[in-house]
Amino acid sequence: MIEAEDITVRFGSRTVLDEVSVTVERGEWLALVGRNGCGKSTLLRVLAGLLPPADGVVRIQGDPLKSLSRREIARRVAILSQSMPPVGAMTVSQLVRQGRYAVRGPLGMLGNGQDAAERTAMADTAVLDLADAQVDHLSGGERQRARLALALAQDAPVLLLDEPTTYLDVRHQLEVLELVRRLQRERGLTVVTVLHDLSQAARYADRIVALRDGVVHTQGPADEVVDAGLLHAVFGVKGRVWLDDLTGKPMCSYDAASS
Amino acid sequence: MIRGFLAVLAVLLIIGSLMLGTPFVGVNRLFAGGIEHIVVVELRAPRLLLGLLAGGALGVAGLMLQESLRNPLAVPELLGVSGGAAAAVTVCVVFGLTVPGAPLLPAVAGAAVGAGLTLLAVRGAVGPEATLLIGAAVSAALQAVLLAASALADSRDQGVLVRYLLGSLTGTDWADVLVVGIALAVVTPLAVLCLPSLKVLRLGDEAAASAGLNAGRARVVVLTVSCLLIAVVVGFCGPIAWIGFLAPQLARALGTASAFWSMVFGALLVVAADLAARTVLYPIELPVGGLTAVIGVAVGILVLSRRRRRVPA
Repeated sequence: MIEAEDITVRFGSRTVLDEVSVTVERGEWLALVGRNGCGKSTLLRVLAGLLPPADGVVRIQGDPLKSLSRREIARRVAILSQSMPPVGAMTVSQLVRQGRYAVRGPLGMLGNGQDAAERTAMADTAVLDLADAQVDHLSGGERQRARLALALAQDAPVLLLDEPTTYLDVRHQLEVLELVRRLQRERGLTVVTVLHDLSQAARYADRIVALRDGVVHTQGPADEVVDAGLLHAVFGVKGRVWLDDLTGKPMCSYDAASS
Repeated sequence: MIRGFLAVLAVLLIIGSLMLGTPFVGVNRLFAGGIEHIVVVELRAPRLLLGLLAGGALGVAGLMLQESLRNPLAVPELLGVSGGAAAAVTVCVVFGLTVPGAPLLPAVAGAAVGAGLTLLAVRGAVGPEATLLIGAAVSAALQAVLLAASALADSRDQGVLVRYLLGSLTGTDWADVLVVGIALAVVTPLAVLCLPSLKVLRLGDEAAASAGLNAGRARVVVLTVSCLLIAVVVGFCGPIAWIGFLAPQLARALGTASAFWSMVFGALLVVAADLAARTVLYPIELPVGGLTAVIGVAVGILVLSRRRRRVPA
């Protein structure tokens, strides 16, 4: 579904990604993990076509991103980025509506009607009750769910999420991750997430890619790659990893920064 | 409630514009014959219509600029658009150049040069703030051109100069209304097509790109279309100041940043200001742009100070 080949990104003289190659299969959930500044958000933006790499090529469904227009990319890939500026006078339903631009085009956006994809996205993220609320007046959690609804309204087969659980309380974190899992299973969505919580990444993702200093350090299924060695090498912490009784997935606890 | 109030206000303003002045024409005589009829039909009606058209166009253009640059101070006066149009027409008048299609074509050309200078300088600069700063500089330069030209002007041209310095609806006839009406009929569908991208642009450039809109390209299209709207108005009425700022602000106060309400407020503002300009210091007639500038600056300061109170720095 997604093939990123030898991606190199430089900001000035700093090399943020150094010949990173990642492949994501159709219907797979891939989690990108690593320390702050390791390049995981940058990689996500490259996959969404928001940041042209200095070198390397990204293919979505076989087509190089460079050969696709912005609208064509948006019909294939939706991304929830880390933050959004204040949007001024705009209700939640108007916000979600903007997700339909890629499909409907400027002419199709002139009408006022709400289509099925908008309603589904709002129902899935439980923001139907907030439909008429002003986006800038929402709490952090409500805002995050509204933004997720905007991304889902694009109805794209690939969903990229940059720390989707930020601003959310424990319950809403679970709800968002469970929702993404349901969409992945029911609609065959291909998902790439940047997640800070390694236990969450291990629990939900089919595969983990750990980045360190702009290169892929380790990749593979969670139960194969998440161990104390990874905590030390990638995150710089001493910690323990055990298998959770309920999910059978690795869980981590962090004891101290390793020297 | 507010909408009903606006509708009543609109009717009052329209009837008032037709009645007030010398001679005063009573409601019952608006459609009677004689000299009063000529005053109403040949002088006041075209002036009223041109005011409505100009105000509506400026309101929509102002909204397009403000929304696309995500800045409530992105007004035609600060982007080199009005300045370019006004300077071009003034130069033509002062140097007695006979240009085909005057004043429309010189105004469009001037607006294109003003906006083009701004856009060209903006290329490579980052963000909406840079656009505004550069636009303000370009506007100042064009204003200087206009002033320099007016220094060379004949005293006969004073009326024309006041129009293009301040904006005025004095001496409007049906031919003006017709040309402006046709020009706006051509540009309006383009403006309507721009409206969806304005909403997407509100999300920020990156989120707009994720949603499938190339923000940079969309912004150039929106700026081009709003320049056309502004050029048409400035070519005939001069730069009626701050309508492009005020109308969207009032629409926002209604809780909507819609083009429709921006158009309504723009039209009503110009007609109200023109009515005041004709009557307040009667028999002296003020340039309408002088009045709107005073109101605009007052509201602008109010908006900025309210914003500061809401969001402590």
